[in-house]
Amino acid sequence: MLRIGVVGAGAIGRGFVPWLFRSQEASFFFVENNVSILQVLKRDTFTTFRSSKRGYESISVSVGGVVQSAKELPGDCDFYIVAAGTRVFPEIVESFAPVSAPILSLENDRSIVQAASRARPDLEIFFGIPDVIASPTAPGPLLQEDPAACVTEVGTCYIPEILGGTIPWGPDIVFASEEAMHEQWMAKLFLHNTPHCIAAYLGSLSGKTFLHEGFENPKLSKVVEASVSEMTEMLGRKHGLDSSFLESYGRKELERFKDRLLFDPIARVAREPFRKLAPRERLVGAAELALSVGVVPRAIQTGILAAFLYDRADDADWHLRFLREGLDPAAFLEIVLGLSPASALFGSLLDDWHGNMDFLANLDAE
Amino acid sequence: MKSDGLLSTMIAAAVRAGQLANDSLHDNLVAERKGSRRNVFSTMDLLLERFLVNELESRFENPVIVAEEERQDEMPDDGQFFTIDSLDGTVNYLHGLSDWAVSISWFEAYRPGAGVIFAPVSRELYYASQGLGAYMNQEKLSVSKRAYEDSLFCISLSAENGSNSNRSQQLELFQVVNESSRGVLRTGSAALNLARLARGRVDGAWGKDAKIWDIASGLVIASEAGARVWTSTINWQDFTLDYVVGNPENFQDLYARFRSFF
Repeated sequence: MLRIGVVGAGAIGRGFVPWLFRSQEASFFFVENNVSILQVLKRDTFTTFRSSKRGYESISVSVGGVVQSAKELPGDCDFYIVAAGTRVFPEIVESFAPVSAPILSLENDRSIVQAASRARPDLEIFFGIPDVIASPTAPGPLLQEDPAACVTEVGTCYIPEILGGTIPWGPDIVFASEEAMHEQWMAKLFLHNTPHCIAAYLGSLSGKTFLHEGFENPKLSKVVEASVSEMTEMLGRKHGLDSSFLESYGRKELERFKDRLLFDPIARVAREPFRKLAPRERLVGAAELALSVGVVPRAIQTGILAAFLYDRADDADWHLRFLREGLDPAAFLEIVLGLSPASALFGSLLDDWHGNMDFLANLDAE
Repeated sequence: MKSDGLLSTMIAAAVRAGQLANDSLHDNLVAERKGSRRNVFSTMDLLLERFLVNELESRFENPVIVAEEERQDEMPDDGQFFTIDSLDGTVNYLHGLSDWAVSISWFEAYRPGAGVIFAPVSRELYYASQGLGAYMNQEKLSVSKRAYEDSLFCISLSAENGSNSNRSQQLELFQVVNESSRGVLRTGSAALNLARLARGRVDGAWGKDAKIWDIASGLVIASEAGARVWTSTINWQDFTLDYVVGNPENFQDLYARFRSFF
């Protein structure tokens, strides 16, 4: 039986990873520091679901053990997967005992894997790209069936082709060349991450709980679709990626966001807005790249302002509210986003500021 | 006094004041001495203080304010008041250096409960409130974990000349710590010393006979970032106190050395 160590028992870790091994016997050892998740996983098996055209499918997941720290993981797993969040990834890697099996990061940031590999040259750490949306929760009836239930969708996971012979992988794995990994990552970063979080921030302003609910509002839909178009144009001009690949990817993403079976919480997608607003990330970074190739990122700018307005007391970046309330727009852009007043994006955001704020204030108006 | 919007208002005021000062950084500002050669203030100190007082008065009803240059209200019974150091690091400012800041704190029951420090040149905005954590811009702050021997410390030397023995002891302590650690900096801004301690960039700070408006905001910020803090009882006649601040790993060593002199 395969033994798989999984750090992070959230949407990807317990919701998607087991599906990657559904065609063989596998036992999963989870690391999770959320006590309530830890408690529901302390048993022999749990059920996880995925949405498809036929409705919900399910598999039973065998639990080999549940611990609170990566250093407590068995050292003899056949493979390790980390999907615990980009902010905690460096400390997770630091705490890993020396293991000989490969470690696959499914985190949403390629650069932290490179940094981790330099910090721990004794570990073999790889970057993987799950092409899937997974929710850490499930609708009521499924949760009644199993409180540990998650819902994912039918998806694939791109991993470096060098990992091909390591373990018996399931049919949802795609072994990709370096070039293909780059293409998938660019698409994921800008055609998934960018519009996904914009949809979440706009949905949050509309008081919605799940991502698909926001798309009932045509104004929200239009902004998200426009952001996909802006990114498609940027990726074609900047990275020379194939337009039919990009258009098909963009259409796929928009359909995913609207999946009514997924129950993807807005709070999960929108969490940590400061991270998403970081200079080279999916909002500010995306907008700057667009401007650099002559694409005016109006929809993304609307998304940036929507992120400024995100306000949840239980979010790690809840202190955003003090800055939002205390700073005028120019100071906010300089101090919070670190934008130079001489930059094109600074000027563009400032020019559109009040118009965007009016739009966002009236998002739900007819 | 209600605390709705307290931190946001302090942030707004500090940033606007800092921007005003930054815009005038290279102007010909008048500097006057307040006693010793090092104890100077510029026209900007006073201008900014009046600006900040105005900002607080426009937002809160009858705020009690204790500030460095001019405004010093009577201490209230409920111990709720603001302190303002409109320009901490005036000498640096007058010399066109970047280490200076606007510092505002809020006291509850005579203890600092919220603090904002804004260093305009480097665009560092520090803010904290008791129980809510400490932040610089977007970043949540946490002190370093360096042991005493590997620590870099900051000293704040009062600009007023103390008695000769006091000053000699201060300098001796400087030497003792400087030679037993990674060193001691004298940056010219007590507020920024504590702010950067909170950020983990320096590892400890101390001062003798410091003014509360210089350090109150920094004490809150450092404390909320996990620092260990000791202060003497505040002298409410001249608003001075001593302080020693470090991370949990180096604090005892630093504090012991301070106490061996004072």
